Amino acid sequence: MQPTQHNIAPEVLRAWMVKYICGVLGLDAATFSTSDRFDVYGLDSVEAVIMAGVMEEEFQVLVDPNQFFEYPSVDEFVNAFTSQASVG
Amino acid sequence: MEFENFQSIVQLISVHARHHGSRDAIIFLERGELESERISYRDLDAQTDRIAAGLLEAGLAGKPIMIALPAGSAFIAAFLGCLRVGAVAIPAPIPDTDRSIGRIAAILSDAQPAAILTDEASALRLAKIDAPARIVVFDELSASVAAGAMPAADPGRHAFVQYTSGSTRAPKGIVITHGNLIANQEMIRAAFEQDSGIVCVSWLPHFHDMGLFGSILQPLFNGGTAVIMSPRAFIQKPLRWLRAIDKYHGTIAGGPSFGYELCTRMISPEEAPALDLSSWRVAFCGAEPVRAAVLAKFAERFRPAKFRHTSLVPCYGLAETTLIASSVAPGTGVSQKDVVVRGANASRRSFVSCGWAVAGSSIVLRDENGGVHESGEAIGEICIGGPHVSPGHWDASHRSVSPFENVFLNAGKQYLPTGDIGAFVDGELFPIDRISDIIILFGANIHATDIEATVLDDSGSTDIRSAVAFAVDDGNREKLVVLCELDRQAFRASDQGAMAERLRKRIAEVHGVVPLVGFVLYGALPRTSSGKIQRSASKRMLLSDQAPMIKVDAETEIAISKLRSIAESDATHPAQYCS
Repeated sequence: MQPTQHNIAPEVLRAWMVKYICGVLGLDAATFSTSDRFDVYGLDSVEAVIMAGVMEEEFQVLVDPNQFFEYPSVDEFVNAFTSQASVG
Repeated sequence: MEFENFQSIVQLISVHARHHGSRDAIIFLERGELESERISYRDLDAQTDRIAAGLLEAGLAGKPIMIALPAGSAFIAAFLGCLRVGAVAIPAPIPDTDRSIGRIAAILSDAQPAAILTDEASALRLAKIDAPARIVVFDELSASVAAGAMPAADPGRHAFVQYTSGSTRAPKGIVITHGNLIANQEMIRAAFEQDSGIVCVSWLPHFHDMGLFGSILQPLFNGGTAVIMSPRAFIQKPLRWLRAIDKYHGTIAGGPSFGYELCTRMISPEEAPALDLSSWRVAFCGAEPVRAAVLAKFAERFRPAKFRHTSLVPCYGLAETTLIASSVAPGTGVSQKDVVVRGANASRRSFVSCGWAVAGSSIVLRDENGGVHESGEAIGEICIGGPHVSPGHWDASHRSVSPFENVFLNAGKQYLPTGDIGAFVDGELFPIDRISDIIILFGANIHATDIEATVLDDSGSTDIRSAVAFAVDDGNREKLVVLCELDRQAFRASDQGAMAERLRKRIAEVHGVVPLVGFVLYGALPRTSSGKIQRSASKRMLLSDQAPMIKVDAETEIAISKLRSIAESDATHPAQYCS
């Protein structure tokens, strides 16, 4: 799938993901570590793909769910997703 | 059309190509939305022919061949091409995650295929596994001559090997013959009342039995259309599945309870009325325990979309019976009855009917004393006999079949025990529980032994003496629980939080699910006389009020008490009885 053009700022995407994940899993955003792998705090593969869908609605972009398997942490994903905008 | 005259599904598809070649056979939806492929019967037959000719020329006719291709027409043509030249097809996932690569490596070592038929992207990844099989790229497969006349298919000939239910450590392939496949396709057709007007819309994994045989081959068998999207496209936005049913006037679509639950969870009551699901006559539900509450919520949510609750068709089946074993009649809907489950913790619970054995087969229940019940009221292990029952496991060293050892004769017929417990109420089948140690989460099978081995192999958890894994129903889906036994000293240590954290992480990495983890004192788990830990007894122990001291963190404590209250409320359900 081709990456889509977007201009979502990394800090906006990061904050959204932290809020989403903490909301779904009932975690405390204040102590949440964005460098941990998703599965460390209990975001399993199905939940990660669901998040990819909600993200599409929220930001009106195409999100390839496979990217969550390639970049399995908030930091890695945000980095990959926001840097593809410039090449896309 | 007289289906009985066809001994191979490939012949049947060629006949469809001759009679109505321009009809759509396969439609693939990229991202579950964009129609990226629309393949007619004529195209599918020609593509199958090209693959068959290529396999012949490559010297692969009659050999076992793994197919690792993404969902779409290439996979289907590859599968049919293998069948056409008498090769034994071994469907596998594509190597796109660590887990699927591990899975492929395990299947390769058990199946020992002569070749892996794959695409360019996957070929690069497969090269890293160091597979002892030749890698053949689908697009490069060609031949100077046509495949020629089809070899006469012997119904007893091995068509493919299913690796859907085996443990990941020691996977076991189930051999399915051409005869099994045709018999089960005919059973599905009859049970679901299908004909050439079938339009099946599927998100199920294309390399799994329910996806491949139930949702792709069944429409092709009937001369209808298979509309396909990937599981990830569905999970990302379940609305895509329902929109496709609406757009293509899908007549049949289904999956495990999990899929229906996800639709209800992710599609809002405001979005539902925009859909028109009136064409959906068979919404089958199987592969993991059928959950009445989940299906009732689904039917309620999509009633404004003209979905009829009577379209819901609970069914039961397993890889060993090719796919389907029993089903209710379409138009019946979900019916429940209360069954008294005897044993150490007698309880009365409500179960969903999965109807009757499909036409041409029979189901009996074998009770704990070995008594075999063919009908009436009974409880016992579900045992199945008929032309859809696999002849046994794949034996790679002889490229042959190793018959199931537990098959038995009853009234002159052979039956295969399934490892599932069921009840008959007036001869109607109500699956109750698994005695086989398979945990089904999100529609995928996970063996308890694999989870336990992950715990015991973990180098950072050396204080753990033994472990047991099982699944507990939380009313919506199954929750994985792992209990670990610790020595007195380690158990007394104030905090096992770090160890629990580590195990949750490790299990999630290896198996893709996050478990509840608890610790008990060494010797606290129920064992057999030979010292083997009993999984089902461990589960009953956890859910009873006689559980020994289990150390867990606060969140796990809450989760477990929730599971206990659900188990309790189930047991006190008002009732009709059956023994």
